[in-house]
Amino acid sequence: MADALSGVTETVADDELLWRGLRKEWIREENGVQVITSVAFKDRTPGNGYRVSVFRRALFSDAEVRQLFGPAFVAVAEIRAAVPRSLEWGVVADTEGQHASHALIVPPAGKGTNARDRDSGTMSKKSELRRLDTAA
Amino acid sequence: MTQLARTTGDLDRRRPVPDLSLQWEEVVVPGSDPAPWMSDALRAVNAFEELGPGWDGGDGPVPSTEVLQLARRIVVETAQVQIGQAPHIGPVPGGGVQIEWHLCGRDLELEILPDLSLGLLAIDGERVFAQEVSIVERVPKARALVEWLTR
Repeated sequence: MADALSGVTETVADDELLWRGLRKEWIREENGVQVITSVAFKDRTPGNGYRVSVFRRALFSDAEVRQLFGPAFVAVAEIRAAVPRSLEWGVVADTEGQHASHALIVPPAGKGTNARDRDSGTMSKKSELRRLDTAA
Repeated sequence: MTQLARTTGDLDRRRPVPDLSLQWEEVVVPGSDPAPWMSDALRAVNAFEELGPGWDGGDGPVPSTEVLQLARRIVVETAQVQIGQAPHIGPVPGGGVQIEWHLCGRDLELEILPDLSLGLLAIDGERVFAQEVSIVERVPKARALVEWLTR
């Protein structure tokens, strides 16, 4: 793990891949294709400020995948940091997080609920679904 | 035909405006033929009662009993609309429930928020309609939007 972290700064690069854990209910089927729902990029937890928890793929090993994504998660949504940034959301490393790879997708202060919800849909559409049994 | 239309119009004018109070909303009167997906959708909602700590990967609350009750009411009400496609239903981090349809280029997301208001997002091509609906309007509005999907 120490090797994986060497040379990494707290800045999350635009081309970094971020993983968001997916429960089975956050995946729907459309014309036989599995699609990530907008719920995957929502978080209404009180006091959370609508921030979405993700993990930076470059900062954890294959062996740590199941440690970070518990049994409730059947898959992950893989998204590049540039996508939320294109919607004016921030992507920041969580320096006090549960793991060195933990990061947060943070909504801009000026966006209301409706705009944020639309952005959640956009982020889900621009994510790749990766099953956890094959993702690593 | 003209006479019939005029008569119907008269009746419409005499029909009292429904009282959209919370008490009125509590009463769900199922029609004779609810959509075939209703039972599965209710089972999906009931399954959220089993969610426990850490269900969202963090320490967010699970959907409350009241949120699940409202989700069931919306399922039953919208199942009265003759729409063949079953909704997709998922728990939302923070304690909400989202009920969504995606049909013929139209998307409808109904999100029951932890405070029991209803967030809705309807997309028809480039047109987007989003609103947070008050407690009084939420169930009738949910049904009206599902009817919109079928038109």
